[in-house]
Amino acid sequence: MKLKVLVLALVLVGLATGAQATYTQQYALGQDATFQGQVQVAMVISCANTMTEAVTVTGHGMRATFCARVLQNPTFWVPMYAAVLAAQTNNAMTPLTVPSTVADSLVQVASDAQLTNIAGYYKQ
Amino acid sequence: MKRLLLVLCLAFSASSAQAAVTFDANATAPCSSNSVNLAVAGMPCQTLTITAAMSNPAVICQVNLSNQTVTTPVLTWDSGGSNQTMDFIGGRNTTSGTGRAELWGRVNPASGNKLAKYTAAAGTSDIDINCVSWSGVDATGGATSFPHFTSAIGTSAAPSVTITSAVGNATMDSTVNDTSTLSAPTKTQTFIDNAPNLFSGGGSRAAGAASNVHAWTLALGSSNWASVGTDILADGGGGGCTAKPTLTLLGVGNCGG
Repeated sequence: MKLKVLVLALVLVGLATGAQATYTQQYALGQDATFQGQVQVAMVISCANTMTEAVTVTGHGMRATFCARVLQNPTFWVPMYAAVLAAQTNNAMTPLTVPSTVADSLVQVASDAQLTNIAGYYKQ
Repeated sequence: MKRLLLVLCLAFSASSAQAAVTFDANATAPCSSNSVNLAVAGMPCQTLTITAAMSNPAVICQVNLSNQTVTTPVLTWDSGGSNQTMDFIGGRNTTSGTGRAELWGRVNPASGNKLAKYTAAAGTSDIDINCVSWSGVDATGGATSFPHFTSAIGTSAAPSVTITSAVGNATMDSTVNDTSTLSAPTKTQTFIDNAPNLFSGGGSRAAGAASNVHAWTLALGSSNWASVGTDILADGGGGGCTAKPTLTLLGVGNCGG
């Protein structure tokens, strides 16, 4: 009985502290159709906002060039964008269950935050 | 009499120290990093090994930044050792809010494998640093050793800067843009870095000529670019006696540069 209580306590502590995401979990989320749908909308919103920002904003040229390609063909970019968002840790996706129940707001914040980096990865 | 003057000039030119600027070494790769807080740690860069015991050595560093408003930057050669402050030769921003090209120089730098470090009072930036060493450079320093600073900006796929120089001297440029990848320098490439998130940049070098065009190709015509260039003056005032012999020449033995 004491052992069961101890195990339960350890499980609860583990849940409370937020277990580290595994690559397998992040991969599964990045491949999840529900998550990819969320990412597509967030990505398009991030890019639409980029197209209206001032040219003098740092990094605008790189972002705007990338976003022009994104807005012409969003579905092409979703797999790559979703993989990056699922794998990054600055705005970690949680929970890592599939189908995705990640809050849209969390996806949007991550999309906005990663747009400059992703635009740099795919510069022409 | 004219014949005598000509002979004297030619003899003087031949015997005086008309050293040509000679390439020594280029960094094997540029130091490159994204989002560096220049006020905290700066950008340390294990750049290159300068050959010891060269005559009149100098080092020129090509710098590209995303941030156009870095506060009071300093580039130090042999950081952590003799800490030699480099001369700011010049810089230029692109017409957009992103991208800046700079050139820094130092005569008589400490030789050996040395650390160049770019620091600032404030500013976070993507940054590239690439240093090149030369011998046979005028030892005065500053704008005397690195004259004819010039710059150009544009929005196109063809960055280019034209540097006034002379035979016996050398020229270098630093070029940055805010949008697309850089390639195909018309002069000897010292570095290209298309990896930074916020810019792509490169640098090149060439032997001196009256007018040296350092040009590049960008993938996209919508790119905002800036290019800066400098001449590197040869010890003795530049090679190639192109001036006609005069009494003045007899006095100073300087063929211009």
